[in-house]
Amino acid sequence: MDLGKAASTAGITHVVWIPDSSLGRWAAALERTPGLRLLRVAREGEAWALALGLYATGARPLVVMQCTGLYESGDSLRNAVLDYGAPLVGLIGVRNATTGASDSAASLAEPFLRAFHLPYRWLEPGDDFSALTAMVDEANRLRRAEIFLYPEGPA
Amino acid sequence: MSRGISIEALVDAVEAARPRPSVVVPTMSAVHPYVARGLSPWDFAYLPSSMGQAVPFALGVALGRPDLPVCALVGDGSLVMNLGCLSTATEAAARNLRIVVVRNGVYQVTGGQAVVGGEAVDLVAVARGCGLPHAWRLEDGADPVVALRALFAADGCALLDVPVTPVDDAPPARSPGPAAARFERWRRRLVGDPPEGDA
Ligand SMILES: Cc1ncc(C[n+]2csc(CCOP(=O)(O)OP(=O)(O)O)c2C)c(N)n1
Ligand SMILES: [Mg+2]
Repeated sequence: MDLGKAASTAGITHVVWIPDSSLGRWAAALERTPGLRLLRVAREGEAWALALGLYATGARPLVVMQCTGLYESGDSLRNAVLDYGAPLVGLIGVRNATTGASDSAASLAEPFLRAFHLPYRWLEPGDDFSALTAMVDEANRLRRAEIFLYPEGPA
Repeated sequence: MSRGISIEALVDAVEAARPRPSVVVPTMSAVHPYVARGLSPWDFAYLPSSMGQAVPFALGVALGRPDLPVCALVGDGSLVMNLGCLSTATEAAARNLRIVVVRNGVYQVTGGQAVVGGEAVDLVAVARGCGLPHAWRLEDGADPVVALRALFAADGCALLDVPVTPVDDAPPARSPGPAAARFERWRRRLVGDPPEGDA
């Protein structure tokens, strides 16, 4: 299942993103998914704030970015999720998670999320995002913020 | 920057000019005078805020509630920290988003240190250069209520750069109550389920 279909099946209304070379392959699929709006941001910090504003109006945004952008956006993520308690969900591509190559971008992903008190789960690598639907559904049901990690190559 | 209006005069002018209902999101040094004056239940004092994120936050609200004008009052230092948000706002094409820049030339809430770039940075030119359909400056001596009415009446996303007089004794930035509870109360109003007891 492509990323757009998996997200919209889970009730996602907006994908707020900056692509990388792995997740970027889904740009066209996201743009043509009915009921889903793709919102590009200039900088990852914007994505959490934009998602916070959308959430305030009843929309269900999914934030999509590479782990490099996650680190860049830490203050905005902290503000949205920890200060305001918004149950935002994010799909984060983890560079070099599948290669085992030494890369601080990969090795910091889990410690970073633990430091932010954010629950996370790993998706399988590859092109089938069907597992994402149930993960987003569950986060919605529990009304909790959660991060879904997507293992990437040397992106 | 020595000229400009007081932050209180700016807040009064926004209140006089805004259509109703509408959403106002004050941040930084605009929060204290806004709270002192009394926020409408449609408004959200974005404090604590992530510096530079008031425009994206208001943009999200504007996209989710296209029927409501949504106006962010943003600090000049915060906007300079995140100029790319103006291109994000242009691309998202939220016709109901309004941005008022509190252009005091300083980081007022942290004690009045100079903002990087100072008066050399022309935020109206930056906004136009990022493709925003409308961007103006409140000229010296012009009536802020007239300018803000024009801002709200604009056809599409619009920014007004307002020279504001910095002060020596600004109160510290303090959130007007528990952040998550305030946010949830406001969210329920935006989704049409206002908490009991709210007007
Ligand atoms: C990322 C980040 N860097 C620095 C700070 C410290 N800080 C808090 S408010 C502020 C200045 C805000 O200035 P401006 O946006 O111009 O608003 P004003 O107080 O002048 O209205 C700074 C530097 C912070 N909160 N976050
Ligand atoms: Mg300032």
